Amino acid sequence: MSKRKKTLVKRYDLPDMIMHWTVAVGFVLALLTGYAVFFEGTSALLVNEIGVFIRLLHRIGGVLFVVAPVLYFIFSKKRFGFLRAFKWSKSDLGWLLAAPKHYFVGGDSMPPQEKYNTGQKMFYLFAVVFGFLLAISGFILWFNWFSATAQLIFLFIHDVSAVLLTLFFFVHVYLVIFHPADRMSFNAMATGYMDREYAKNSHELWYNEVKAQEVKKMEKNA
Amino acid sequence: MAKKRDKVILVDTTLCTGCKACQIACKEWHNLPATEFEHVPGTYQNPADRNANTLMLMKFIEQYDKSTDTMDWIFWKDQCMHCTDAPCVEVCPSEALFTHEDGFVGFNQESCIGCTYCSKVCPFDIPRFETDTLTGSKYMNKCDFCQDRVTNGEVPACVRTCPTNCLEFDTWQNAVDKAYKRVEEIKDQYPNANVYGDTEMGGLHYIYVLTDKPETYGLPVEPKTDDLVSFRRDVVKPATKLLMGATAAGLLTNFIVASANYGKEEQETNDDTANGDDKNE
Ligand code: HEM
Ligand code: SF4
Ligand code: SF4
Ligand code: SF4
Repeated sequence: MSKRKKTLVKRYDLPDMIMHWTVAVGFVLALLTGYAVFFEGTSALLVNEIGVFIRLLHRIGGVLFVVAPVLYFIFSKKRFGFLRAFKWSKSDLGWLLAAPKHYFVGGDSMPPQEKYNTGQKMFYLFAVVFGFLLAISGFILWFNWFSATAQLIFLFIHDVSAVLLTLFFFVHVYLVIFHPADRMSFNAMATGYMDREYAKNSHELWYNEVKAQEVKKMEKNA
Repeated sequence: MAKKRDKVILVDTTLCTGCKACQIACKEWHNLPATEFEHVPGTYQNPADRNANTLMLMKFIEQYDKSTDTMDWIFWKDQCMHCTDAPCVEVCPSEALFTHEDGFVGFNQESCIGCTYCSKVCPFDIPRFETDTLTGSKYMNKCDFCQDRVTNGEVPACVRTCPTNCLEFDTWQNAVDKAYKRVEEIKDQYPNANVYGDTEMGGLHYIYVLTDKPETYGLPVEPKTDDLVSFRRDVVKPATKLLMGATAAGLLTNFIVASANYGKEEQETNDDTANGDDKNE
């Protein structure tokens, strides 16, 4: 066993990471360009060529945002991984109740978590539901389907889905980049490996599963 | 409401001969290329619809009345109505559309980003677009009230060229008064005659004397725009800003509080290594 494997535990494969980062890039691109049009402060600065270019970037972002998960769903063996986001139990309530203390003060009161904790599941759920609405409404706006009145409704759906997803996205980015307890989880999606201690503490149930598999593999090799 | 001194174009359809001089003058003044001839069966109307290069279109409607065995041939001039409460100005993100101090809705094409929001809210289905293969639309075009002429004390090109006085350039109140007087004069011949434009959308800056009901012309009887326009302006946009600000503030607070607390714990654990356990989850 290499030293790396001793302190780290495998969490993501290359296709998982490619899909995550493609979605992320697409989302950020769509977010920046979408809000450049949405907010008066920035939209007033737009002129014809720049505006059309911004709207083109928005579409490129949108396409990346949609194409990555679709390809992933077709080709990855873990295509149904997202269903995890729909599996909820009583312990999730415990997590939610304990979360404010954990995230502000620290402490060990959190119920043991699976591969994704309750907050991550919520974000995943938001991404699936509102990402879907964003994509549908976005393509309807792009290709001018249905009547003008319907278009206005889809613009409204696009606005609301965008802001809900954006707020949760802020939280997501904050936690994995800045939060003192959780920022080390960034490495998991950047490298595919997660710190063993962190995994044990934050995703106990998942960690135990992985551990059991590791042991089995080792026995087989021996 | 429209202001009394606003500038307005009065269209007295009873004086129109359907010569289309205004349609050509409009194109000429705006330096717009001709549109490919399109045969529209049974009418003199050409092209079939307005487009990014045809800002106004003479519409021809043939009405056959079976009871009297007579034919009515209706012409009317179709272009942006220059609403006082203009929803297109409300939704335009780039300030390409604006309410001019003279009341009409001006248009700066260099600022238009082609988002098509205006076409989603216009009750008269006015905006038309130059298409773009990648994004769908490059820019919008519509009647700009000949803003360059009007701001320089000239009358609009269509008015200037009209040979019959069907089109008149006047102040808003004058035009409305004239229109009502005219309707009185023609009531005998056209019992359905009416004034269109004085109350619609807070007052249009095109006032029409129509010989028949607005429906006959394909004009909306009560033009209005979706409530979502004001809802997006008054609720969705401010709420988006507020929520984004609140989230950012919350996260910053969390960062400060959590950094302090987690730092403290780390120190405690370091002091107390005998305990061995890492509380820092
Ligand atoms: C998934 C594919 C997406 C497509 C096809 C799409 C398409 C569109 C279209 C056509 C518009 C109208 C303006 C324009 O023509 O540029 C628009 C506006 C907008 N989009 Fe998207 N979009 C997508 C994803 C997103 C995402 C991920 C966000 C992220 C926050 C977003 C946020 C916005 C915002 C804020 C606006 C401005 C709305 C307004 O001005 O009221 N969109 N989008
Ligand atoms: S007719 Fe349509 S385009 Fe013209 S001012 Fe009214 S809403 Fe705007
Ligand atoms: S298409 Fe042009 S004129 Fe119409 S709302 Fe968008 S930027 Fe304004
Ligand atoms: S006012 Fe000017 S732009 Fe409008 S229809 Fe007349 S000529 Fe065309």
